[in-house]
Amino acid sequence: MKSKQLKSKPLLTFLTLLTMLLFILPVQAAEILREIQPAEPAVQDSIEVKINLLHDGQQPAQYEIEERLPTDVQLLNPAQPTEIRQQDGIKNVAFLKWKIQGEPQKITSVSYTITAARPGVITFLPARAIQEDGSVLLGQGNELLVKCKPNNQCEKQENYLNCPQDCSPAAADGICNPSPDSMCDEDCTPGADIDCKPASKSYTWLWYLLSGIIILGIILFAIKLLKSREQPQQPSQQPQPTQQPPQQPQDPLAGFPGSRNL
Amino acid sequence: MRWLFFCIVLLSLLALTPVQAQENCAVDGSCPQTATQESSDLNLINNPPLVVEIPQITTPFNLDLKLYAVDPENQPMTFVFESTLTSTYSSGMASCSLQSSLLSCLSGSTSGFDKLTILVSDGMKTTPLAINIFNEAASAVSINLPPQANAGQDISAFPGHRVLLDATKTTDPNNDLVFQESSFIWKLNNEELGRGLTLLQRFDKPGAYTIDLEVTDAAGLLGKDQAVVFIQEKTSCRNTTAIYFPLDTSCQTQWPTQEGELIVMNTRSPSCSLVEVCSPELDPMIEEVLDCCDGTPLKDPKKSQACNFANKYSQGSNKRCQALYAVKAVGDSAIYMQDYFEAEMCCYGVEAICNKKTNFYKALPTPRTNKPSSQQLLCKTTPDNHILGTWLSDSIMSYNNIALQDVHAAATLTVLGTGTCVDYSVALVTLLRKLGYSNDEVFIAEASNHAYTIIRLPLDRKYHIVDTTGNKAPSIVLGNVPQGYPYCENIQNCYNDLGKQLCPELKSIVGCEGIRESFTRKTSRFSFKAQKLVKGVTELFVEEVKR
Repeated sequence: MKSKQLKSKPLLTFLTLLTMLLFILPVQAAEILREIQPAEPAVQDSIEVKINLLHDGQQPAQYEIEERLPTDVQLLNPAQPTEIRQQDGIKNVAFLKWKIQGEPQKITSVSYTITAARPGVITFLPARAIQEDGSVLLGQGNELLVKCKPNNQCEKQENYLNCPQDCSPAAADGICNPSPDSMCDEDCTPGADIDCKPASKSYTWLWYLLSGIIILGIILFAIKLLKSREQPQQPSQQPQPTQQPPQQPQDPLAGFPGSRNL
Repeated sequence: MRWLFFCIVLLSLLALTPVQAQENCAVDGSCPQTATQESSDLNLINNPPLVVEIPQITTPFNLDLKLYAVDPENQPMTFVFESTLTSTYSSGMASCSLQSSLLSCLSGSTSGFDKLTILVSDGMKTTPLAINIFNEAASAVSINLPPQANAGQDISAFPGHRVLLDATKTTDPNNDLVFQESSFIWKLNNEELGRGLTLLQRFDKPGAYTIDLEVTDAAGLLGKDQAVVFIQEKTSCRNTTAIYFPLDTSCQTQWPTQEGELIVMNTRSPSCSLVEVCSPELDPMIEEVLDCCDGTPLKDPKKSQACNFANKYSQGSNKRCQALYAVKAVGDSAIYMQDYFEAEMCCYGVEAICNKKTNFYKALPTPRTNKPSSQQLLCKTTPDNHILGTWLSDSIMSYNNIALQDVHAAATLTVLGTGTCVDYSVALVTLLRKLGYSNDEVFIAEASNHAYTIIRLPLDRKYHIVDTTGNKAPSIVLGNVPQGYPYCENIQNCYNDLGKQLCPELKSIVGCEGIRESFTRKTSRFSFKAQKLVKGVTELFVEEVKR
């Protein structure tokens, strides 16, 4: 019994060590954060996006960082995305990917540069860090307001939210601004903007009704007129009365030339 | 010998540790694509505090700012006024002070609006938090008068609905009302329901409930008001336990049902089964949307960002805020749905969309979602048996075949958490309909090779096109059409839970104004109207005959 215990001791130590080692190996915590500079860019400005990954594990580890590019931007550096996919009708879903090695307690950063062609909100989806075992670490999403370059004209892509310098709060920019500012915004549904006077009552329907009545009257009149024109021919079509009309008294000179037109 | 064996095993194990790459490379092999840097500065991965938009508040008030700011790393936060960089602020409109996270503001002598900016710092990074305050100058009152309690307007709701009792419009002529929980007591039949400036309640049975509000000021003077909550019988979705549903739906049951009109996109589905407005499984999502827009702070940083966007662009409309949050949650904030369900296309062998030929007729690539069921999917379509998929069970995944099939909204949102364009649009339209958007305000727009959503936001005269497919960013462009697809030109048909609907005219859609409608679209609109008219007249006639 004792010898059996002695024999099993090194095996037990080995198994304990093995278990400990196996526990240590997969502990690979990480954090991911995106930084965007500048914080308030304007159209055509160069925007640098940096993805920072903190590898919190004890051993170095490999990560694949996947960044999906927003649709409204142009990539400057690198010149081309790593991958382009199609999602139903949307053809250019672009991704940037990096394989990086995370060193213990170190932050590894990758970056790329974009520019926005039009003003508005650019939405960045959470960046993904995919570990070798397939587990996915998600970062935070970001939103960046790209401002316009003012030129005193409220252009197609601009509105009072992304270009207040060019677009007045009541600009026809597709967005209702109901705030009481003494300006009626035509983008608002009736009643939404108290600055808009209630539309004067439309009498268009009355015109349609009158026109209809007049046209109907003309048609009826025309029909009546046609009927009245047709009336002289009607006797011939009607059956002859059975009684002969009273005959005129015979002219005694009838038949003699020049008897009438003298 | 044993130790030698042990050492060999140990070395082998160490050799199994991740293979170290020589340098950081892009996946396509081009090394290095962009500069990579290494640092030990922990500031680089510190998230700044996230703040939630605060609705306009009338002075005086006490507000715990911890309800409106959250630090993702749970670091302790400090608050100071931006203008003074101290804990005090004073203007003609208000005088305010900060004690830790408690903001107290008293009314000033001048009436009007004021904007306070408070800097929230976690010790590393700072986020500004803006608060709009309104001061209604009180007339000089020599004697102390009781507060003017305001229990808000009467409320109409259905059994189980989340009812928000709101006393925020309460005022006090002497400004000696302390806006704290204990000052506001809500009662039903003389029994206390709860305390607070606002109070959430639910009523399970139909009837009229008269709620009493009692407000006590610092001098102990009492002000009273009443509000009536009318709880009505359910008019739709009677065969389900759903508590949120559109009033104008004809649906009574959830999936699987034959109710509604048969609609065809990828597969044939009854409209009530696909746009599943009667599903009770989606009610928790609706409650989250309601939370976001009535000022209940959402603590999850991912959700609070979407909620901030919704509140920021809500223009003061609760319903508009709800739609924007739903759009973000399904779309680019990736809260309810994640990734694009490419496997659905690969399983059916759709060459244009399945990016890897090796995935043809397989349930691959596995969608990256937070739903475990999405990892257990099967593809039963083969080149020899080229059949469209079917969704038969929400619980046993092996019953389903994922090949190009339209899944009912509850399964998309709660089981799969992903989808293709139709699924994304169906999910969003279902949520919006449950939030009370009427059948002429929201549609699934079917295009030749795509599907997206058309919505008319409250206040706006025109419709917006929204594309949430695969968390497309941005999913909504306020004042314009999203980029990347000829959205205006390609609209073919529109649907919701009532079946096929009349698509809005292009001139009524933001960003589509200059585009001429094709003759076929115009004639199809005319024939649709004529069909509806004939159908309506026939129904009336049949009804009359029956009578």
